[in-house]
Amino acid sequence: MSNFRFFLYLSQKLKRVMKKKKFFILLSSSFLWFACESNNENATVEAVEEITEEVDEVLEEESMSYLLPSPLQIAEIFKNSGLTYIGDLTSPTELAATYNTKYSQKLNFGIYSADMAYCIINDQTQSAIEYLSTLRGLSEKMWMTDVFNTMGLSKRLEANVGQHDSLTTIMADLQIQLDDYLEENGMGYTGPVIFAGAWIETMYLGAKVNQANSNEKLIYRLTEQSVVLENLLKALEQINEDNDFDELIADLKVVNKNFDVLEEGEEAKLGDEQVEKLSIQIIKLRNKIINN
Amino acid sequence: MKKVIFYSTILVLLLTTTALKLEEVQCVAADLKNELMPVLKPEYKYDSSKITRVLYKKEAFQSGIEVPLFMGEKYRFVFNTAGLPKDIEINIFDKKPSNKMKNALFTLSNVREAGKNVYTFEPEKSKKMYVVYTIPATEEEGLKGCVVFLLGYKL
Repeated sequence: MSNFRFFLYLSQKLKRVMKKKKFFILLSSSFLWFACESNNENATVEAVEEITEEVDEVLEEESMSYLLPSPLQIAEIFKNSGLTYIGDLTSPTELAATYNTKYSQKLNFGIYSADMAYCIINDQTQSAIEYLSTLRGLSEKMWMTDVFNTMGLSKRLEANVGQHDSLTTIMADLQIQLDDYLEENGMGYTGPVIFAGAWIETMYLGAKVNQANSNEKLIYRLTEQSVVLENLLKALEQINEDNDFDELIADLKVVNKNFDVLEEGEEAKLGDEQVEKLSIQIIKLRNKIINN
Repeated sequence: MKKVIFYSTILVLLLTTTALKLEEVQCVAADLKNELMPVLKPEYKYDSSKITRVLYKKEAFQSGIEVPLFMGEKYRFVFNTAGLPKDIEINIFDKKPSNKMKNALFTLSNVREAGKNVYTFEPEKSKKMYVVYTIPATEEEGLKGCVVFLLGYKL
């Protein structure tokens, strides 16, 4: 049947069934609904310009959200500033079996992610694979198995031993996968807790390496983390409706106090004593988390 | 048989219009995010992302993201507006949105092109920045969508 003949046929049929009211109303509404939608678009596009001025400077704190950087980026920045590899600094994988609450699992998932990043940026592929396996185990406990299932991460890591750029790309892919998973499963509230663990561990590694071999650049980078801690605290406060994270927030606020001495300015840096105090508090907090 | 063909055709038409309507307002965040990945690679590595879900209201309002950047590093901001049924305005400020001394480093209305939904911005200087979405008022009820923001870094 040609298109024209089919159209005629359809029109005639349509006339006949127009008597069947319900059907006709349903059909018309559907087309009208779609048509109106398209027409309204232009009207609102024009309205954007006018409204922008009206709402200028009314952005409230509760309408803000707080971006948290990837632990890999922080580790890479630390590495470029002198974060060397010290083998026994990272959290023992055996401890993973002792984390039985969702809270400790999330925090230590972050801790192990940071340890994996530390191994990867230092080309410690075998250790990275062990951390990956530990992360997979923890993710199963947290019902987040899909994060690792689709990526073939172990194989990719093994296939890229010694290829630094490829290894960091794999780690970045894991971050994408994790972010997607949390978003798709409505688990956005989990992200800041995992990040808290990762941030504390990266700071711990930075502090320990700096204690072993003090380095001005690294101290500057440790100081700079005040902007991240500020965002982390705000993000945690936003998800703390049931006061589940009171203790973590209180502990991080103690750490944050160390940055109060900083003056406004791009080159602000903590002094030696202040760095030592910050390091002691970070180490204490990190050990509290891993020892459950 | 003719009846079957006829009713099937009508059903297909109905489903198509409904699907078109749904597609218009649906926000598949992962797909929108995936569209942005090639805009980062190979120079920039994925850092983090934020999917902002927008429920249009009768009054215009704003929603913001505080973005910490590290000194001396290079960043690329990438936005995908394809998940929005109606345009919004995107601004990036160098200071808090409430600060009178803030400067707009990027304004989407200055760079918007017809049919384009991916936009990028690379700050000259890296310091804390504030992304502000201005969502226009609408009389349409239940109108929603999302905007995807991706941050890439280069060390």
